[in-house]
Amino acid sequence: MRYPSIDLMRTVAICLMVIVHFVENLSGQKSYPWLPTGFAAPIFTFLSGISYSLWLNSQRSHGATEELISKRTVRRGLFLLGVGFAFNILVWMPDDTYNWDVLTFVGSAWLFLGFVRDLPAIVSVSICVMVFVFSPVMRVVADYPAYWTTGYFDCDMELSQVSLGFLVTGYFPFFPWIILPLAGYLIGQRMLVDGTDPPPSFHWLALAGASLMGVAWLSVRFRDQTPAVVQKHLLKGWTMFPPSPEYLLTTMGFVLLVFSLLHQWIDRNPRFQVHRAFAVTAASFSQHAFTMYLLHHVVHLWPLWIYGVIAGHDATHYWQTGTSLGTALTLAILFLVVAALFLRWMDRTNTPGMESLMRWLCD
Amino acid sequence: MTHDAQPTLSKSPWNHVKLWDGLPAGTEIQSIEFPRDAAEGDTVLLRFPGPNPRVAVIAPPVNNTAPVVARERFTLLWIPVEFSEDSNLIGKVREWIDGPEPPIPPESRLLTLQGAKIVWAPGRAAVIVPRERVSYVRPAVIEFAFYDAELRMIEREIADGWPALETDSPMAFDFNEKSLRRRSELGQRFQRVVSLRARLSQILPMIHRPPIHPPTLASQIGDRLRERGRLVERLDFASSQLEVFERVYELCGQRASDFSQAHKGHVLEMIIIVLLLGQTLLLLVEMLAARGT
Repeated sequence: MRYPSIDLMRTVAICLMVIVHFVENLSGQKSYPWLPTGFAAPIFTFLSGISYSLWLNSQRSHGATEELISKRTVRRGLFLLGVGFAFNILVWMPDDTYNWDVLTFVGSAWLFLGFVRDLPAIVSVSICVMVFVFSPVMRVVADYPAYWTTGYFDCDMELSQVSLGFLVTGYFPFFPWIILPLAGYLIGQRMLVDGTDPPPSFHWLALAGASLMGVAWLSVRFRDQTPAVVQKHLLKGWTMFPPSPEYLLTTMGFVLLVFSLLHQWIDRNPRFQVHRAFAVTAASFSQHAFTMYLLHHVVHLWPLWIYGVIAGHDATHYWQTGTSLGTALTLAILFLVVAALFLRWMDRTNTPGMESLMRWLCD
Repeated sequence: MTHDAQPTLSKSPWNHVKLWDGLPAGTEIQSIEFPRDAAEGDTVLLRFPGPNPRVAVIAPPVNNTAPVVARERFTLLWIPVEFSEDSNLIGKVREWIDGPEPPIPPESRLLTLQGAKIVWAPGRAAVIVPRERVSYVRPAVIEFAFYDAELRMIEREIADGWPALETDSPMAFDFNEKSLRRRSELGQRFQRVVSLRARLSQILPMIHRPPIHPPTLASQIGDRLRERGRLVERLDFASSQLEVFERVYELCGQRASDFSQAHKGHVLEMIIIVLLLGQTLLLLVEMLAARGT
């Protein structure tokens, strides 16, 4: 069953991701108030948990045994990890093989969700709380700033630093990002269950989302009144790298609130009519999110690397300096339009994307 | 036999079928209910003592839009006759009892005893009886109607419960976290089964009552009606079916309780394990950080 709310959220996340990545990687601009940085990844990772829940329900309803589900989950997780590493090597150059970007994180998250899928909900919630509490401590212990001296994650190719990158210091480390897919999975298991009469109430979820955002706002508002040690290690303000508690609470609250409201207003409202072309485009973007993630990187980074080499520089010479802000933004919008047409063509001609490849290999 | 009076049709829930002309004088339609207590102004026809006491009272009139078979009511057509009677009367009465679209085979049963003729079907009956015996026959018919209605209600609820039992029976063997969400639902069903068993037990002594000696017309009619209505056999069947429900829901309750207790313990254990894992990871990060620097 397709949920238009999920399609819509994922489409918005893709659009945000494309715009932010084009602008950041081509023009180097990061701090415009109109540039909603930091929201695409939480939406993606939260929805990856919901997707796992829906996929799991579908597997069970088709009679797959738990053993088979475990095998398929592991295959899918490893596939994502493998593609993530290949992507790092081919798109971000071999030096960045272990930068622990979002694909490798989603792969790890699927492996983790496969492991904890049958745990009681209260234990999973405890894991989320524990991860939230432990993550700032781990960052202090691991000396997070030492890996980000150049403004991006940089570690030596040795086991301890690579492992720390995966756990704490990378772009999307397991701690604390696992909270989002785990929350998505829990909500998917509780809320997106067909045949429950009456359907589960979403009011408490919206309330929880709003409460988390409220706590985050209070944390930011009263940060200056807290001791210096708290400001230094815990309440660091709105930062995605590292994902500060305020950032996590805000994004977590945001996805919970938006998901609950959209689900209530769109999925459960038979009178709500989305324009057909819009619904088809959103479904298309959502179904091909994995392909889109790879494609938009290739489309805007490879020309940059190739041009750098042709111009006689290092491949990454023009990274963040290649174009002006206006050009980068125009290219992002142009890419989204062309991608929408391209994805529609893929759907019409049944051209396989990365998602089909994953299903073919892993299921 | 006199044919000079017409019953009041508007008082009958059974008035979708017109009574015919030429019924004897004194013919009367009574709609009877069995509430716990009689309200002020109710005409009490009979009292049923016991742990769940009821009274038989004449119900207020119902309009034409009421359901054809008012389940909580019993409709009784009294036709007091002289010793000579209309030979077509039984046929017309059966036609009236069976309704405009009679089931095949017809539901109505005819019982004849010492000049009294009772045409009976679930929810309604017609009694053709000599005038001087009306007062003897009335309590027996009403009493039978009450116990038959009670038994029918229990049978209906048992029949309605089978699909749920089919769904719930796997939980009598295997109870998991998903089943835990249905615990209160299972509890309600178990309570329903217990309530049905209680109601069955309450009518049991009356249905298994030994015959009165020396027999009277009323006792004989009561015995014959119970026999023709197969109350004893139906009671046994209902009891056997309830046993299946009790067995399944008792097992479900046991499984739910066992699972719930074990679940609480497991959750605590798992949370402790998670905390230990967290501590281990923290140590691991510390160790890796020490090596990294």
